[in-house]
Amino acid sequence: MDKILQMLSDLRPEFDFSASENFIEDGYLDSFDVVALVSGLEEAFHILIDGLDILPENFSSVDSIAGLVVKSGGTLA
Amino acid sequence: MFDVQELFAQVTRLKQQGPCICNNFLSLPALTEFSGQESSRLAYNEEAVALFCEDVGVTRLHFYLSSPEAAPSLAELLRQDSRRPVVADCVGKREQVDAVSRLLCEAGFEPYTRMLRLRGGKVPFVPVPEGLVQPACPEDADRILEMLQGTFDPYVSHLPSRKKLLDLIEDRLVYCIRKDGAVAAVECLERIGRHGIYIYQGVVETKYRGSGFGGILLQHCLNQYRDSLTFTTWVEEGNEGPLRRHRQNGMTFDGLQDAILIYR
Repeated sequence: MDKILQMLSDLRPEFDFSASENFIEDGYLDSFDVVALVSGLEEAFHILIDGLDILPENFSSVDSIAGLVVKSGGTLA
Repeated sequence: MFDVQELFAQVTRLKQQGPCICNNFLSLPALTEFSGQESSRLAYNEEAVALFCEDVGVTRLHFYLSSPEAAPSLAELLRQDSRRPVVADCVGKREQVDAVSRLLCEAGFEPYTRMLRLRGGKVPFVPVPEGLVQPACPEDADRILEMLQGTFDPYVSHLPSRKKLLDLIEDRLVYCIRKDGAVAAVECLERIGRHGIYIYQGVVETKYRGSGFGGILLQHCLNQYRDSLTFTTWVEEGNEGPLRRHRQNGMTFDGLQDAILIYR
């Protein structure tokens, strides 16, 4: 989970992601950020994320992103 | 037309060969909409996947490559489609955009222009002359489309369809200044989530330029949505007028670029 939070902070250092309950709804992440995040998650966790899973609800929080990583076969160390 | 599941299956196939290179990303709702269009087409070979979509009269390419060496494979897919020109948006940080642009040039594209994204936070309320700015009505749609299409380059600007414009008008995201009963200036916005606003497109009728309408419209829109957490907009590189106006409202470049290339 720390790894995911770090990736988010690297992507958007101007935001405090711990202060948001929904990154997409609050405008912290937009579609371009999601693309970059997908690429980063795939590399960091050695997974392939199915395009059908690239939905706003899967990137709305650290928990939902972690769930996506696990669903895609990754391990949260 | 194409099958979205087939697209994702082919992209997954490429990803299994190694890190994939792509130029832009369409959301699932956008992909679903394009998949139903008669004129949209999915093409692929061993090393490349190409999606040709018709976007308000412009053929746009979204592609995935298995490696940087796969540019000739993309060129092969381009040759199989007779539509010209084909426009590609390469979105990302500068280094990534430059690398993808080089690949596209190897496949036969030429650089067209570059857009830079600005982002800002909450803005202070600045009063504007009362009663001058009004929400647009559905009856204004044709006039607004005429103004947008007469001003902006469709290869660059992702102009709205009539339906999209009407949806924005219905959501009270389009504002205008009228003179002599006609729309003289317009500003279109889009929502990003619940708390973000994208400053989409604004135009002032030629004879009213220099009268301050653009600044007043933009300020009115910022006032309307001043509780938003983020504002974003795209400005063409070197376009100093809009750049200055957005900077005055506290917006700065956030590092994202869109290199637009064209295949003739």
